[in-house]
Amino acid sequence: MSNRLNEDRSVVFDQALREVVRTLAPTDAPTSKQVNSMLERWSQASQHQITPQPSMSVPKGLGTMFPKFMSAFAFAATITVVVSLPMTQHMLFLHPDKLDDRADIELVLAPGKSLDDNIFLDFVAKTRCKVLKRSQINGQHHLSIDLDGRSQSHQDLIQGMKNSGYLSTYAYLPEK
Amino acid sequence: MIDNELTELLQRVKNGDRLAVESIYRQYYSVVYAFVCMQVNDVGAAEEIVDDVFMVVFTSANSFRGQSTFKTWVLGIAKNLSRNWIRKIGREPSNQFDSTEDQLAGLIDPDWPALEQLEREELNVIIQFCMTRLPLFQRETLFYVYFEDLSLEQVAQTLGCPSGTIKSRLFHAKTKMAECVNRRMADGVA
Repeated sequence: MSNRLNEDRSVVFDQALREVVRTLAPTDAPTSKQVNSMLERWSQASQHQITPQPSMSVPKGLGTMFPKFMSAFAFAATITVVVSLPMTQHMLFLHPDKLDDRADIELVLAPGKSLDDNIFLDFVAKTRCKVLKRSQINGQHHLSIDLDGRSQSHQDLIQGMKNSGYLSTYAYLPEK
Repeated sequence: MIDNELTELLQRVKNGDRLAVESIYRQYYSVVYAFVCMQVNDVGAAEEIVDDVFMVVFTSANSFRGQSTFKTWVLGIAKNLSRNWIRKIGREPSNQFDSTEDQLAGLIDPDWPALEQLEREELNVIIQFCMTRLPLFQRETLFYVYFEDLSLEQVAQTLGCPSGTIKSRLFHAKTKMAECVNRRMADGVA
C-alpha cells in the first residue's frame, strides 16, 4: 500500500517535472521580431548580405554649404592628421576590414586544442568572424579566419588566446 | 530533419542564403531556448545567449562535420556559451551532491508526503525554483530526459559518457529536487 502510494507520488512528481521542463520552450517563438533581428545581425556579419554602398556623395541640402567650410575644415583636418599621426601609427595596420570571405588572419592552435573549446567559441561570438578554411597538420589545427573588422579588442582577444596557451601562433595577412 | 535536407540548408547558409538562415533559426530556436533557459535561469539573458548561439552556428557552419547530430552540435555551442555567461556572473549554484559515491550512499530516499496537498500549479512553481538549484550537468540531464524524451542510453551517447553516469545524475537530480520540494513545502513557500 505504502509502496503504491510512493509510486503514485513519484509519477505525479515526474509528470510535473516533465511539464515544467516542456513549458520552458516558448510555443510562439521565435517571433517575427526575433527572426528579423537575427537576420539583421547575421546580415551585418555576413558579407553576402551587404549590398555595395554607392560612392560617397554630399546630400543636396549640404551641397551649397560645403564649399564655404571646405578650406577652413581642410586646413584643420590636415593639422589634426599631422599632429596625431605619430600617436596613432601603431593602430594603422588595424584597418576597418569587413567580412568579405577573404582571410585576414591565420591561427595555429596549440597541439591538442580543438575548435569546440570555449575560448574559441567565445572568440567567434565576440568577433563575429568566419572560419574560411581549416586543416590539420601534425595534430594541430590551422585556421584561416575572415575578421569582421580589425579592432584593438579583436587583437586583445587573439593575444589572450595566445597567452592562455590555446594558440600556438597567429599571423595577420597583408591588407587588401 | 533528414541529413540531406540539413546538408543542403547548411550549404545554403554558407552561401549566404537568408531563407536558409531563417529556416534553421525557426526550427531550432525553441529547443535551444529551452536548453539555455534551463542552464542560465534568466529569460533576458537566455534570449541574448540563444542569438549568440545561432550567430556562432551560422558563421561557423563550416566547422560542422557531422560527427554528431546537428542538434547535438548546436546544443554543445549553447552549453559552452551558457557556461561562459554563468562563469562571468558567477551564478552556478554550489552543489554538495555531485561528487563521490560515498555521498550517494548518504542520500535520503525521496519521499513527498504532502505532494497531494499541493495544487499542480504550486508544485510547478516549486519545481521550477528547485530546478535552478541543481548543478548544470544535472539540469542538462533533465533536459535531455524530460524535454528531448531521450532514453538514458541516448543521453549517454549524446553527452559522451557511460549510461550509469546519466542514471546516477538523474537520480541525484530527482533526489535533490525532492528534498528541495519538501523543504519549500515545509516552509510554506510556493
